[in-house]
Formats: sequence, C-alpha cells, structure tokens
Amino acid sequence: MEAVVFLATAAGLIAVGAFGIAGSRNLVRILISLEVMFNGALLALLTAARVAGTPGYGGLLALFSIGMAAAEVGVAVAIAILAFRVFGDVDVEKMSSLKG
Amino acid sequence: MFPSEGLAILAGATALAAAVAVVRARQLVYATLGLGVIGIANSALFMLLGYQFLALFNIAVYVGAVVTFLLFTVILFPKVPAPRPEVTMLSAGAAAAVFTLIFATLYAIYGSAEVTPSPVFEKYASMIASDYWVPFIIVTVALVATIIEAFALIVKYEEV
Repeated sequence: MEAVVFLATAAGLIAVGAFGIAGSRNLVRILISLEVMFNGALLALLTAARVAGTPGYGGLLALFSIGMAAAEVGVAVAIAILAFRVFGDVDVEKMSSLKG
Repeated sequence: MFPSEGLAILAGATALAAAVAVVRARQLVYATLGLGVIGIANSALFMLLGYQFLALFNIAVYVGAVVTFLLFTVILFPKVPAPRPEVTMLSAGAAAAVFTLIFATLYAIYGSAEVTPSPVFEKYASMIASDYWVPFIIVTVALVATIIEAFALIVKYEEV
C-alpha cells in the first residue's frame, strides 16, 4: 500500500480547512475549520513517522497533540463565549478592538 | 488492489467528503457532526497505518470529548448568523493551491514509500515516564487550566 493515499487525504483536509477559515466570519465556524486542519496535520504526521521508520515517536507526538487540541478547543470556546458577552456577536469583522 | 488499500481509499474519501460537508453546512450543528465523522475516518486511517492504540485514543478523546464538547457548545450557544463560506474562483483557487503545495511537498519526501499496516508495539507509557514526562506535565497543566477556566466562566456568569 502506498503512502500517497494518506498524504492526499491529509493535504485535502488541510486545504478544505484553510478554505473554511479564510471564508468564514463566524468564530465558531472558524474554530471547526481549524479542527479540520488539525486532523489533516495529524494524519500527515503519522504517515511521515511511519514512512521514516520512527512510528513510536510519531505516535507519542500525536498523543500529546490530541491532548493539546482538547485544551485548545476549550480555550477557543471560552474566547467565543466572552466575545459574545462583550460584542453581542461572534462575527470576527466586528471584533476590531480589545476593549471590554 | 489489496483490501487494505481499498479501505484506505474509502476512509480517505469519507474524511474528505465530511470535510467539505463541515465547511459547507448551513447549520453549525451539522458541521460539528461532520467533524465527528472526520475523526472516525481518521481513526480508520490510523488503524491502517498500524496505530491501533492511537486510533482508539482518537475516538475516545477527540471524537468522544472534543467533538462532543463542541457540539454542546454549538447547541447551547445563542442563535447568531453563521453564513457558510461562499465558493468563489479566488477561494477555490487558493484551496487548490494549498492542496497542491502541501501534497507536492509531502509526496516529494514520502510519496514513493510503501506503508505496511503492521502494528506499532511501542510502549507509550514507559516512554512517557522515562523520556517525555515534561511534555506530559505540560499537557496535564494545559488541560487543568481549561477546567479552571470553565469554572471561572461559570462564576462570572452567575455574578452578572
């Protein structure tokens, strides 16, 4: 089995996630698109570790990455909640200042 | 074509279709559910790469906790407009350029290699305890900070 299937899937996920981030104005939708990119990057990492002959270290790095992604989602959701309280909306176009 | 290669193509196509559904969904709830499908398809790809433990860990932690947390957030969040990104020539071209750049780079380095779905038997627990305990502590502190931040949000909401 060639690695091209995994690499194409990873590159596709990153591209679709980037499209979602660039075209969205809603903070929660941007966060979800960011998670799509994260999945693509994780798949690329594990494929590269497998091909390079260091699967153990790649798997360990992926474990820590998933844990940090969970913490990052918590922080991002908290920012979205606080932004809604301050600005009354989660449209990033309206968040032009840090007042509040 | 070997069965594992067919499964890899199927899982990859599922992940990409779910990713497009996530970005183009009208409702954020369906976008979050699509993220769960991506997580499960990714876990299938992890299995085919030989990372059985990581696949189950991904389902339990990422799909079971992170995506569920996002789903509850989207459900309980006040209804605000969430227009989906429009597909224009510029945006589609930029996405195609990102895909071409990343795929070409990855393929140049790893594309010609063969991947055998042999399981990875590394002992993660002993590796973490012996060599990688500092990153483990950092991840633990980050997760604890997230819990504390959630409590802080609740307290602030009650004060208001």
